[in-house]
Amino acid sequence: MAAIASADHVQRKYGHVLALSDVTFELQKGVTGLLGANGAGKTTLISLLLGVLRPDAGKLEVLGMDPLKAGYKLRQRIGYAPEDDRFPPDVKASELVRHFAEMRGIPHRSAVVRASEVLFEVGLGEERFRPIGTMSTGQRQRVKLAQALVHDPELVLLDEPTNGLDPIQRDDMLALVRRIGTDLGFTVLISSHLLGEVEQVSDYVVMLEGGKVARSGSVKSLLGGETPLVVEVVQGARRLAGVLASKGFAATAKDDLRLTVPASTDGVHDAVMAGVVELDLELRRMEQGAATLGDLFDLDEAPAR
Amino acid sequence: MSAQAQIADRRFQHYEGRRLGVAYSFWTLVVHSILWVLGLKRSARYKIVPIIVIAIAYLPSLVLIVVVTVAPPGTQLPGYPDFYQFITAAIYIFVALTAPELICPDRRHGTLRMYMTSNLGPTTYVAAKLVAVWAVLAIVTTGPVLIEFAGYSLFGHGPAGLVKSLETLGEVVGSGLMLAVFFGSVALAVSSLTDRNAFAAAGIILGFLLTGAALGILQGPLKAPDWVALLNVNQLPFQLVFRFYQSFSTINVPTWQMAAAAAAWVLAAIGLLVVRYRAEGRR
Repeated sequence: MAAIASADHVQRKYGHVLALSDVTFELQKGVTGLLGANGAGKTTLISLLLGVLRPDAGKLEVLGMDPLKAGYKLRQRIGYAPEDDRFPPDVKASELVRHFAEMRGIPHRSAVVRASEVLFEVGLGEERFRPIGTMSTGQRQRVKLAQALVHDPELVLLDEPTNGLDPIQRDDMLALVRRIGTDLGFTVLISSHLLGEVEQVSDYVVMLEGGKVARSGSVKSLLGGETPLVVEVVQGARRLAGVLASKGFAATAKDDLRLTVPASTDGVHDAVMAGVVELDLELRRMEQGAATLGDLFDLDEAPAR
Repeated sequence: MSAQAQIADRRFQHYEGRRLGVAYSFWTLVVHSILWVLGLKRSARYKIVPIIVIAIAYLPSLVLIVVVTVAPPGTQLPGYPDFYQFITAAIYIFVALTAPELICPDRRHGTLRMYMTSNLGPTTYVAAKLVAVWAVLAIVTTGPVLIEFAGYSLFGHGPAGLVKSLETLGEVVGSGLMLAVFFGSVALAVSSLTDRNAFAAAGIILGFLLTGAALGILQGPLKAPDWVALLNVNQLPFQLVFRFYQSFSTINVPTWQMAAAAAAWVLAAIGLLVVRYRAEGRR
């Protein structure tokens, strides 16, 4: 399957600061999560894909084009929602979305119709004639999403679309992003610093760490072909991981409460029980198949609701 | 249910129509910017100030027409370049209102980044905003003098003959557009230095006034050379208008040098805008 976008050993500096280093990945059709802490280089990577920034080294290709050379012909095939959502407060949602459809080359009449359609689609059908200044953060984020979709792009880049949302609004937004990627068939790249969000909506994930791609691939492949055994104890998961490791089991403890270990290894259940007894720990749960990307990698989880 | 009733499919449809290019988006932004700054298609409170300032700019020309209707032949009436002294304040206020409103909100509201990823890039965005500010300012720099010209012509005080009338009309329009281009470009460049309309407006007004005052002192008591007047953004364009009409000008340098200095100011302002927005686009 041809990649929608690809980066080949891309590097970008701001002065002496290396924002992206040797970044290589392929973006496939579907929803891809761009995961990384603040300052990991997510927005820089999005700007490179848009052709707004020039890479210092390496090669980028988006929809079969070089983003720097293609100019507006590429940009009008991309939908982009920036992190910022401070839209003009007195402008109606429908007018803003219609205006940005026109700015991406959609003729006026079609832009008016499509603005209405897309605002219905993101759940703002009744509110589309309201000034943006009277809307909640969640509604403004939806307006931002609508303007990114209105011109029917082949690639949608969403920069932290859940910023400032409460947990319920965040779940609604993630469900919406998932739906535009599945039901509506858009290819979406969603950036986030929250692992839970990326895991919730993505088919693929690109993890950035300090400007480098730490891991990339399908969520399924990153979780492994088999689901690991997850062990939760009241305290002492790190000591238990040490004991298991000394017995030849590849156990990983992210914190002192929880560890994962490959479930297919012979004798793993007995080894866990023996370790718990040996260390006099209180076992809370031992379950196969409940692993998350966070269990496998040392990444921040979404805050608990 | 009537026979004509239809079930409308309101679901999201993929778009298969035409996609237009840079020129379409450029003019869309020009028109949008003009309507925005005049408060059209916005709530009433955004219309009030532009309407008041435009009314102040047009009032002297309307008064002049009334005077013309009763003035006996041979009465000494203000010439076209002299007329600007009645509306200078209105022009300055309009410049200080419109230029910041055209570009500051896009940076403040974060919509600039969306423009930079549309059909437009930094240069085409700046070009659209320049055309918009020139068009809007022409309302107060050209319109009132055109009314004066029409009044003089209708009531027997205008130029004699078709050729002379067309020549004067050209001077009126040319002078007004030159003022709009000069003040619009400089004011837009000043506005590009801040996100806040109020700071930009204060910078524009203070810039014009302080430059005029400082250069006045330099040329008066301090006897600075004549060419220093070319730095006076406050007076240079108005004095150039006098040269257009072949009238007396207080700046004692050749016309070509005044025109070159005015062009240099405009080009420097446009250069600053392009540099600022290219840098802004890369953020």
